[in-house]
Order: sequence, then structure tokens, then C-alpha cells
Amino acid sequence: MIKMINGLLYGLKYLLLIISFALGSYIVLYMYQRLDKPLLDSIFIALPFLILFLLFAINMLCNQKRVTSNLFYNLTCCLVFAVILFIEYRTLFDTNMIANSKLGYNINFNYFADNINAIKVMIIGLIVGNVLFMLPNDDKKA
Amino acid sequence: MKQILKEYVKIFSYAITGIVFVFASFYLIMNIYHMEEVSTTFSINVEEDSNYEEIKNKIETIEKYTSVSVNDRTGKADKEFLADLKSKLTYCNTALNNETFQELANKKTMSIKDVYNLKNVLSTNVINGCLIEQLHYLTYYDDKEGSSDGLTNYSEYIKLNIDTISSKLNYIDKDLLNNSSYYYNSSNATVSVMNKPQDMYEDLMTTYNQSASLIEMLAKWLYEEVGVTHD
Repeated sequence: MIKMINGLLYGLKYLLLIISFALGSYIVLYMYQRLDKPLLDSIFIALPFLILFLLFAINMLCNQKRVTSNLFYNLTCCLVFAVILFIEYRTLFDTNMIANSKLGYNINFNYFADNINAIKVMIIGLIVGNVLFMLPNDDKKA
Repeated sequence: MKQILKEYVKIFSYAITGIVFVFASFYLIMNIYHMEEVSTTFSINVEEDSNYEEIKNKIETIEKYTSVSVNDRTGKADKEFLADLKSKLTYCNTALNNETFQELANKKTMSIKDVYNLKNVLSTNVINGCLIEQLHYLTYYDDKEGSSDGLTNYSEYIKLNIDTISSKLNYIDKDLLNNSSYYYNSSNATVSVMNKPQDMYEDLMTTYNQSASLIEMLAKWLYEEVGVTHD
């Protein structure tokens, strides 16, 4: 049962990462374009996502059981991406926040900008956790 | 020693993941709560709203005042000036009695979005469409021939009213944006951000009433200038 749930969460975290990154990139690029800021600067927002994606790829390719079979880590990843998706959903569709219609873009940049740092903190936490789980420890499965 | 280090790495990795888990859970709950707060509605009853009743009465009065025929004028004002003012005031009355205002009669609750829509209607139809486009000329009308029979003596008063109404609306407009940012939910934030829509609604209705009063004052002048002969 646990193995099945873990397998489900393992697959889900890749899917959620891709969707949240794609939606986040759309919002950030739109925001930078609107502010006439160089699009290259947005790389600092995308960088944590890219590093995490790279680590996930390493986990998968090197078959690192300490990370891939870690139910708690997979669950945390899914939760973090769900939070990011929820923030992105509200940025795009929560019309009760007036900036969504007032600014004329149907995207509430104010709200998203307020949440960028929290998103970064959560992703960096996952990166650090992933790296630490990759290190050899007493886990017999390793 | 190596064993202890391995243990520490394991503890630390679970601790970091645990912190992220707790933070993400907390952040999700806070955001859900924020979404709930933003979508809060408040109840209204226009039958007990003195502003609404006054505006409604003023709309009827303006309609009566502007239904006079300028051909049978009794005052000294120029016929073209009166005809022009009459058509402008008729336009203003239509702007006041717009669909959004009429719908208020059937509304039992208002959300911040409804308040925003009411603000937009007041801003577009009444302030820009009527006060600025139609009536602002009275604030600089050069009446050398005396064709307005003293109405333009009120120009400073009209200007002051238009300026006050516009700046009040600008303030409400900026205040409305406050709910678009994420904040840590506290009772202070709830009072200063989430309970504001009701205050803004009251402010909007007062501004609406003030605009209606200005239009009514001009319509009354027209009525008195022309006399009581109806079309």
C-alpha cells in the first residue's frame, strides 16, 4: 500500500513540477514584459525550479532509492507544488482581487509578486533536502 | 565518528524536509483563508439606505425639471444656451439612472467586485460622461452677453464640486486595490482591508448622491428659468 502511494506521489511530483513551472514562467515573463524589465533577469526566479528539476533527473537516472522511495520527501514535494499551483491559480483566476481586472491583464501581478519569495524558500528547501538525502546515511535501502 | 556524521545528515535531511512540509501546509491554509476573506460579502438593504432613496428622488426631480420646453422661457437666458443645457442634463439623468444603479434595488448582498463595478459606473457614466464631458464647460463659460442669466456665477461652486467628487473617487479607487496583495492574516488586516468594501460602498453612494445633487441644482435653475410650461 505504502509502495503504491509512494509510486503515485513520485509520478505526481514530476507532473506538478512541470505544470507549476510552466504556469509560473508564463506569469513571470508576462510580468517582466509589462514592467519592461530584461527577460533574462527572470532567470533568478526560474533557477531554483531548474536546479530541482536537474536533481529529480539525477535521482531518476541514477536510481537513488534514498530519495525516490522516500515517502515523506515525495509527499512534501507534492504539497509544495500544490501550494505553488494554488498561488498561480489565484493569480490568474481570483477575480475577487481587484488588481486582476483593474490592471487590464487579467493577471494579478501584485499577489504573485508577494508570493515569489515564499515559493523560492520552499523550492530551495526541497533542493537542500534532496541533496542531503542523496548523501550516504544509515538507510539500509541505500 | 563517521557513523555519527551519517546520523546527523539523516536527521538534518528529515528536519529540512519537515520544515518545508510545515511551512507549505501553513502557507496553503493561510492562502485558503485569504481567498475566503477576499470573497467576503456584506448585506445591503437599499430601502433603509438614505443615500439610495435620495438619489432616486433626485433622478425623478431632474426628470421633471428637464421636461420643460425652453421655447416658452420666462427668464433672460438665451434659448440656445437653455436648449444645450437641457440636453446635457437629460443625458446626465440617464447616466445617473443607469442599469447598475437600478440593479441595486434587487441586491441583498454586495461583494468587493460589485463595489468595484459600482465605482466603475460612477466613474465612467456619471463623473467622466456627465460632470466632465457635459457640465464642466460651465466652470469656464465666458458669458459676456449674459446669455446664462447668472448661472455661470456658480462656476466656482460647480468646479469645487466636480473636483471634490473626482478626488473622492480617486481615493476609493486606490483603496480598492488593497485587497490584491497577500498579507499575513491578522484581525488588524481584516479590519483595515476586508471590512473596507462596506465603507467604500457607503462612500460611493455619498459621492453618487453628491453628483445627483449638483445635477439637480442645475436642473432646478433651468426649470425656474424656463417656467413651469411642460412639453
